[in-house]
Order: sequence, then C-alpha cells, then structure tokens
Amino acid sequence: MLKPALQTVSQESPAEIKIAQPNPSWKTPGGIPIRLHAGSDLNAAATGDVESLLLHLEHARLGLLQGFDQLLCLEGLHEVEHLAHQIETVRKVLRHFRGRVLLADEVGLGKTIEACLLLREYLLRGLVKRVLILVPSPLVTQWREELQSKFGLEFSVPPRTAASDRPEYWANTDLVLSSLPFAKSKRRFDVVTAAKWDLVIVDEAHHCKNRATLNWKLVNQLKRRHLFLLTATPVQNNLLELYNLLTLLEPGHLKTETDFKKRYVRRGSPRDPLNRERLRSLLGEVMIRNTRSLVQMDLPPRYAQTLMAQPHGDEQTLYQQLNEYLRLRKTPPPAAKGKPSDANPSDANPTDGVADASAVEKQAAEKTDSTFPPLSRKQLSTLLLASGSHPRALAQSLENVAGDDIRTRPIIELARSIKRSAKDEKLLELLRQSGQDKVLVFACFRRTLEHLQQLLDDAGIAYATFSGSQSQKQKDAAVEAFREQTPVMLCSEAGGEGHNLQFANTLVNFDLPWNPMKIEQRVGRIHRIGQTREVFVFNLCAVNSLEARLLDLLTDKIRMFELVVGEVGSILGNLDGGEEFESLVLNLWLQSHDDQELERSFDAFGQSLLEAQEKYVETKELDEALFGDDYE
Amino acid sequence: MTSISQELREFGTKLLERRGALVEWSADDEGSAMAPEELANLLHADGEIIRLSTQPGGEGWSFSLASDFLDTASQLLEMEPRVGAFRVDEMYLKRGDLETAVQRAFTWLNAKVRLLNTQEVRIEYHTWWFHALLVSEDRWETRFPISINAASGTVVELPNLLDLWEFEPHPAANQQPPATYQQAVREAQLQLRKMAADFFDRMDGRLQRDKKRLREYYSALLRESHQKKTRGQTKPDPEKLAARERAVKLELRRKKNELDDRYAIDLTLNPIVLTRMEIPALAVALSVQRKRAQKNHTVYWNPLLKQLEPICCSGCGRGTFSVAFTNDDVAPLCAKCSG
Repeated sequence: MLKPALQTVSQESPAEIKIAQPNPSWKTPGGIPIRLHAGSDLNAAATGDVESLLLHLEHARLGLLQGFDQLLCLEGLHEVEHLAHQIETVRKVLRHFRGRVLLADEVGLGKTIEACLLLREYLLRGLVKRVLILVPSPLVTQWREELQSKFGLEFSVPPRTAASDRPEYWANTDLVLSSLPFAKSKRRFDVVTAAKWDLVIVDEAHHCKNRATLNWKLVNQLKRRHLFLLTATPVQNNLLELYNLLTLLEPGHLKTETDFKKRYVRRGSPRDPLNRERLRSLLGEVMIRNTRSLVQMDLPPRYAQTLMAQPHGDEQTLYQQLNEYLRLRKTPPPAAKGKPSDANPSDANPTDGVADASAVEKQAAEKTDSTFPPLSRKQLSTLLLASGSHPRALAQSLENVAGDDIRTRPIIELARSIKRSAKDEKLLELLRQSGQDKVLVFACFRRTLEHLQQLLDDAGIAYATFSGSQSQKQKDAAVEAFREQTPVMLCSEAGGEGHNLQFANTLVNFDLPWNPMKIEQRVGRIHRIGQTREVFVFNLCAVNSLEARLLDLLTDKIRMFELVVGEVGSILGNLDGGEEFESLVLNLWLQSHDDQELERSFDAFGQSLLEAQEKYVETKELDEALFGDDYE
Repeated sequence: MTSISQELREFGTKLLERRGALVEWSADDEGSAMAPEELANLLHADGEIIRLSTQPGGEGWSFSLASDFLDTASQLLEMEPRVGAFRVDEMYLKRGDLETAVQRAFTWLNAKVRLLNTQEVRIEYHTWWFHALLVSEDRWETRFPISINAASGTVVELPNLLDLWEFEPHPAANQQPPATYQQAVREAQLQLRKMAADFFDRMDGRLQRDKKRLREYYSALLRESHQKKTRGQTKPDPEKLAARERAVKLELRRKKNELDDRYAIDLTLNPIVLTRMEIPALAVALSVQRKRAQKNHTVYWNPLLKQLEPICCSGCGRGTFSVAFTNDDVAPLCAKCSG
C-alpha cells in the first residue's frame, strides 16, 4: 500500500525546467548533414497492462534487421539451391562492395542466383525500394519466372503499349524488369533515365562494353544508388571493354581511358594487360569472379542419346492430319527477321516455286477465315509442343485451343483412341533395361504426366510424381519416396528444383521444350555439385518430328549435352536478333511449307548456331587468359 | 527451426492470444489459430480457423521475416496501447549521511550549498523507447530507451523498469500527456551521436573517398583535354577547348551534387512506447547561496541507482554534477554553459 505520508511530486512548472529542444539539423564529424524526422508524441491514455508495451517492444526488436552474418534472403527459399560460393559472394558484396559490383562468375556458377539473393537481401532490409532489372530480350520471361517462383518477387514487365512510353510508368512502378533494347529505344530512353532507381541490375552486361553504344549510355545515365553488372565474359575483344564496364560502376576507378591504356594495355596487343597484378588488385575492389576450379565444381562427364520412335498406324495418321490442319490455320510468318529467315532467301521470295503451295493454303484459309481466323503463335506453338509430347496432351490442347472448329473433332478422337504411342513403348523398354538405376522422367504437359502414371501403373513399375502443382510437403514426400523406394520419378517442368537429386544419374526427356536452356535446367537437376557418377540423358522423340530436328541441331551443331551448365545460354546469347529460341523454332516451322523446306531452314539455323559457338569459344579463351583461375 | 523463427513464433502466438485467439502448433513450423471474427477478418481468413506457418509462402499466416508478417503484426498492434502507467509501492530509501553524499556527488563551482532537509516522495520516471533509423548510402537502425525524471527534467540512466518484479498498474496516474517528449528526442539525438559514431565515420570516409576519386578522374580528363591534339593540328582550338573544359567542370559539379545527395543522412526517430513508472525517492532540498542571492533547489536520491541524480542545467537541459549558478536567478548551469 502507498504510504499516506509520501508526497507525489509531479512535474515542476515549465519555468523551472529547461526543455531541451531537438536540433533539427546537425552534421556528422565529416560534415554530412543529418536531417531529423521525429515522430509525433504518444498522446494516448495510459494502460496498466504491461503486455501491450512488451509486444510493441518485441515487434520493434524483431524489425531490427539482423547483421549481415545472418542473411535474411535465405529465409523461406524453397526452390533455390544456393551454393556456398554464392552465399560468400552475397556477403562480400554486402560488406565490401557497397552495392556496386561486377559479378563475373564463370558460366554456370549462378550469377543470376547471386544477384537475386542480393536483391532480396536489399529489399528485405529496406535498403532499396525501386529496382530496375535490364536483361537481353530472350531472358525476360525466364527472369520474371525465376524472380516470382524462386524469390517471391513480382516484377512488372513494361507493357508493349503507349503506357510504357510515359514517365509515370517508370516513376511509379517500383519493381521493373525490362529488356535492354526496350528500355533504350528512342521513345523510352529519356523517361527511363529520368526516373530514380535505388538498384539497377544489368544481366549479360557485356552488351554494355562499348561506350559509344546506346546500351552503355543508358546504363551510364540511369539515376541509381546501386548497380550490379552480370557477365561471365567481361572482356570479349579488348581490355577497354573492361574499362568501360567498370566506369559504369565506379567512374574514375581505373582513371581515364588514356591513363588506363597507358598503364594496362600493351601497345599493339589490346588483349594482353600490362601491370597485371596492379590491375587485378584494382579489379578486386569492384569485381567478383568465381571459377569452377576455385569452387571445386568440376563434374563427372555426361552422355546423351536420342531414341527415335517410329509412329505407326493411327499415330502416324494423327501427326499427318494435325500437320495439315495446323498449316491451314497457321499465322502468316513474320517479316524476314533473324538468322533463320535471312539464311533462306526462298522464304522471303514469293515468286519462287513455293508460290503454288501458298496459293493453295491461302485458298483454303479463305474458305474458313470467316469463321476461324488463323491461330495465334502461342496457340500454334502449344499445339506443336503437345504433339511432340503425347497424343493425350495433343487431344486436350486441341480441345482447348480449337475445340469449336468441327474439323478438329476427328483429330481429337483419333488422338484419344491411341492407347500407347511409339514413345511409350520406347520408355518402357528403357525403364526395364535401367536395372537398379534411379531414373528421372521429364514431361512438359500435365496430361502426358497423367498418361505416364497410368502407363507405369499398368506395367507394374513403381514411381513417384513431382509436379509444380503439388504442395511443398507433397514434393518433399515425392523426393523422399524416389530416394528410398521407387526406381522412377515422373517430373513436370518444376523438375525437383531446390532438392538434391544427385542420387539419380539417369534422365529421360519424354518430351522436349524448345528452349535449350530449359533442357539444360532439366539435366542440371542431376548433373550438379554432389554428382559423383557419370550422367546419362535419353531423349525420346518421334521420327521426323520438330523435336527430332531440334535435337539434331543441338547435339550435332553445338554438342549441347557435352557443354557445362550455362554454356548453352552464352552461345545462344551470341545469336543475332535476340529473339527467344522458341520463337525462332516456330518461325522456322511457319516459314516452311513442307518437310524439305523445314529441313533446309534448320540447316541454315544450324549454321548460325555454329557461328555463335565460335564467338563464344573465342571470348571464353580470352577471359580465361586474362583472369585465370588464380583470380579472386 | 532457426532462432529467428522461434522468436517470431513466440511473438506471433502471444499477439494472437492477446487478440482472443486459441493457438495450437501441430509441428515446429505449422499450426492453427481459432480466432474471433474481428481478428479473422483482419487477417483475411475465410473462417475462424487461421492456418499458421513459420515458412514464408506457407499456407495461412506466415511468421517469417521474409514475408509481410511484421507489417500485419503492426496492424494488429495498432489497437494495443503504447503508454503504460505503473508504480512501485516500496523501495529501500537511503537514510544515512546524505550531506556527505551530496558533497561527494556534486562539485559546486561558485556557490555555497547547504542541505536543508530530505523528504520521501514519489517520482514519475518517463522511459521513452525509440526506434531510430539512419538512412544514407547505407542504413543503420537501433532501438533504445531514454529515461527522464519527470519532476526534475533530468535524464537518468535507469535499468529497464519493465524488468522490475515489484511494479504494478497505476490506474490513478496523471493522464495528462507528458511534457518530456521533446527533451527525450533531444537526448536521443545526443546519444545517437555516440551509438552511431561508427556509421557516421563510415559515411564520412566513403564520401571523402568517392569525392577524391571523382576529383582525380575529372582533373585527369581536363588535363587530357588540354593535351589532346587532332591530326595535323599544332594547337588545339581554344574555343573547343574551353567548351570541353566547361562541360567537364559541369559534369564534375553534377556528380559531386549527386554524391552529396546520396550520402545525406535522414534520421527518423519514432517513439515505440512510453512507460510512466512512479517510484519512491528521496527529495533532497538544498539551499544555494550565490553572492547575495539565495535559492532552494531539489536533487533526488534514486533508489534504483542507489545514488543522487544530476541536477538539470538551466542552459542546455542536460544533467550535470559539476554545477555553477547564475548571479541573479541562482539557476544551475553545467560547466559548458557556464564557461
């Protein structure tokens, strides 16, 4: 009890107490102004309940971000398998590079993951709010998907409408993912550079190696606090390219161009640096380069084999009917664009022998156009991909895309009537021969996956299923079952990302995405750090299918399955035109009128791929000579 | 389960229970809460059962720093009071030789000071908990308390009063808004100078380095522009030279301004909670004789610190043990203000 004699002393009169006023403008010892923004007083009535206050205090404590030793970006990442060197890189950038860095890891070591981890860390810590990511056009979709599915980040891709020519879009959208060509275009250059960004990420930054280009000028003029440049090949032709990239990051870090040339470039040999040690030390302040040998990521060899399945009877008829139908309803090919069409002049010339075929098609199209317009590119590619997957997938896709066209009924019915395709037989044969090996079977389409489940049930082969539509628990359980019990795991495109599947060393591509990067992602599920055995990849495709031609191209021309992870992307990045690979494949199909023509188009495309590969090999050799393995 | 997950789980559970929910964790990372309608609505739940998870992206409400957990929690906390009034009934108060204690604690610089009497009183201490966020080219934040003796206005370094076991609610406390906020902000600013000294040094150092680099780069550009010769030309065109020079200087100025902008520091200081704790103390009345003037002042013996509190400077408002007095008002001044 309160003692009655005790007097409560309340606040003395204001005259008695000097109320010290906050100082609204003060400075650091070095003279940086500090602006004070004090929140308002707490004028609420008082409570006697201490729990309320403790909850507020705990909330504030939890809100205090942890030190960089404990990275926030790793919390809750399911689909990302981050490696030790990536984490180390993230810490290094946070602690020492002040958000301006050239990430120049060798191909396949995960620069994108590093950049995304850094991005997430910066966002979670509130260090950045407005972010612009600039990537080559073909990589926009891949970046968007990865940011969303792996890192939970929703980036806005500028719409291809007048809205993105207006400053409001760039000023009011906090997270923007754009292709570099789109952002630098005349209509948008000024509005993009007028907006303020906290962080800018430039993927494949070697496209900014030349300071006379709009690419370089755009990045240079962007108002940004932090900048990440990503490239595995910072130097492609000469050392000045490196100078130009680093000038974007830290103007003056390598002094002026003349000074740089004088100190570091050997006269007459622009690729061979002078004062290598000094240059290396300077680079170390702004650049991180992990190499395979440095992170001990040399993997066992992998072997690929294509198993051709010969469709017979109904299945053969089905593909013929579908082909005829799709050619009737195909979209007119785009104006000659990119290598494939350039390389085949007959495609662009309406007066050659193809004219007759076109006339027939046109006639046929006119007959139906009033009720059924041409199918869009997306619809066409879906149907072509489905036909390359399985008749079941085709039936469903055709129903969805063109079910209202009466001419599709017999095709759909025929597709549904096929119980076992030629590829089914090949798969069963393969699985029976695989013995004790764990086999991962990939298929793009849900219907194909369902069919394969039925096929394996009927054949008495135990399997687990891993698909993108499952919950995290179901996915974990599937991987566990595959590891411990079943010899086979059926996978959708999600393909077990984020899980260690190196205990398997055999992979079957039951169908094939047209994008080689996606094929590589599939192979990368088992051909990765931790894999100790040789890896075997089997590709199933029907004779004469589009997939068969694609495989021929990828295996014969660039020997894709012998490349290390990531190299395919670098080679494709050297293709002119910058279109997405899937789009190029569809163009080849659209621009050809029969199998012979299609073959010629693929041959011409193969030539472009060869040239792109040569360019890549040259650059790789130069970078290895420059930075070597001992560079850190 | 990481320690952060554990802490988030405990915090989230308490918060939900406080809002009337029944919380049950079926596994380390999964649980559910049966919530009253109002709470369920706030959390956008379909029914009265809210699924809980410690994984970001998990079903229901995800207790994770990588999710919007703290933002949602902050909405729930909006209804929780931020000001608490408490009291401690009894504390041991020193009765011994206070005169000697006063002489030992204080240095009276220009006056004669005599102890008049001591009296047991009850003093309200205001502890303001602040969240401070410094944003520059980097960022730094902290959470810290400032305690003020509401009677004397002196800033006192008290232990965390909410850790005391003896306190109880004080419903009869003065409900007037406390007048100590401005002083607490001022003190917070002063303390931040020390707490964030490394951060300030880092920013100063970085700015200097970046400015130096810029200066060197652009002076080299200027030098080069003077030396640059076009083929077949003996002397550079002076007009072109001047234009180039002007462009370089302008660019340097722009870049320097950008640097200044980038490094300017914004300090956001927000009060988190205020605790008003009334505790017994000893008021020590002093008679101060300065030349012909005389005035009484009071200092306080604090039972938590077991020592006398400093006296509040009438010039700057900071507490001091080294006290001078003004001639006419006999108002206390710290050494700095009197010097």
